[in-house]
Amino acid sequence: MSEEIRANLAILVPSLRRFALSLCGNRDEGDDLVQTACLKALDRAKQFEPGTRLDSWMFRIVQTTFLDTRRMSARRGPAAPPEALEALSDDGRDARRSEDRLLLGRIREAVGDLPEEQRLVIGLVAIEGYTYKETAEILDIPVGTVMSRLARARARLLPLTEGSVK
Amino acid sequence: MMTDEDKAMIASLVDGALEGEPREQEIRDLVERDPEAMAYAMQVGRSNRLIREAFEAPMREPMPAGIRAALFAPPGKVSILHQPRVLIPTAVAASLVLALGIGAGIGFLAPEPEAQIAVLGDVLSDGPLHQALETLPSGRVSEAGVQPMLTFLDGTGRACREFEVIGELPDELEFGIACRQPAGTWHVEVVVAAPIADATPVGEGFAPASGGAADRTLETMLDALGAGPALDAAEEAALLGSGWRTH
Repeated sequence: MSEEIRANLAILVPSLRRFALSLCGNRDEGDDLVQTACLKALDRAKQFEPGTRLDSWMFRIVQTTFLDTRRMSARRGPAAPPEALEALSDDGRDARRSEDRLLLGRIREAVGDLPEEQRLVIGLVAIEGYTYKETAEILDIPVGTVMSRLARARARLLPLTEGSVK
Repeated sequence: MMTDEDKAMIASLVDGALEGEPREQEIRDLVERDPEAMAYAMQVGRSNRLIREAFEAPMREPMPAGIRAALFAPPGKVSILHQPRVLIPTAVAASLVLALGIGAGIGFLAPEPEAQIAVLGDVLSDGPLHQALETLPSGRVSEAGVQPMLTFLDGTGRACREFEVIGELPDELEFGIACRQPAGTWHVEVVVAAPIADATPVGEGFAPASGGAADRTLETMLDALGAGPALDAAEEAALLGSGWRTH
């Protein structure tokens, strides 16, 4: 059972890291977050109910770990500087043109500037492709709250991607 | 003119949240009929795609060593490296390392610079290993895949760090020890490779499995260096903050 969870968690790791990167804006912190979440998940493997979705369970652990860590570091003082935003600038390897890379950089910055609660819904809906209902379950909030947070996040993100709609 | 409610519904349609919902057809019709609604739907779709692209770098990368160890390493006990060391002569240790034939083999010294982050000897001051050893707190992983694991002082008072590098092979880690020379460069004393399956989680990082060949080699080197106990986070932070002033 635990072995099966390990193997299935391993399959989820790339999207967990993507989600964590969108939350932390920083690769090291994101990977630390995923690592801690994996340890927690294995520790609590017995609490996982077979037949339910492992991915939702795991994204939920990532988000609670993220919020816990944020609360802790808020008490301790400022978090690590956001080295990542710049370090990530060559990430858009698929972005063939430099203006695309600039745009992706601006998007990362704008997502990083969103309040945490909006970053979580954008991460789950726009990046990971969860439905509103699944997102609501992962975050343990009503669907209506998912929608209002999304609307507020989009009001800030859409102007960035406006213009040349292809 | 679209209301906020219209916008929310159109976004729901694009996000796939209206599938099977009573209003799905109504909103589809709106988008097809109204150019403004269509433009908004396109914009939301494009925005979703770009946001996904902005964060997709991890999707193409191999699993970082720390996460791999968290998932697959057997539950670990306390690292042997946290215990004080007994000094033995360096020459004896060096011959032991060579006898074990690990890490210090010709392969590490051969000029194959691109793949190899850690080689024995002085570390390039502009390289990724120097960068990580010089600046990162233990437990953090650098962009280049270097993770300092702990810091200690050796028998001569030099600051030394045990570190790990994600190996070229996906299932392998390299463990090493480097010490900071008075001139400000780092000198790699030993590098050993170990299968990830044999690694043991220690705090946020991990150490080679106790008793394994890699572990024996590191232990031998620690003995040879006269390594003191691992510094705690505050002591390490003080060193990092002072530019490695050990006195």
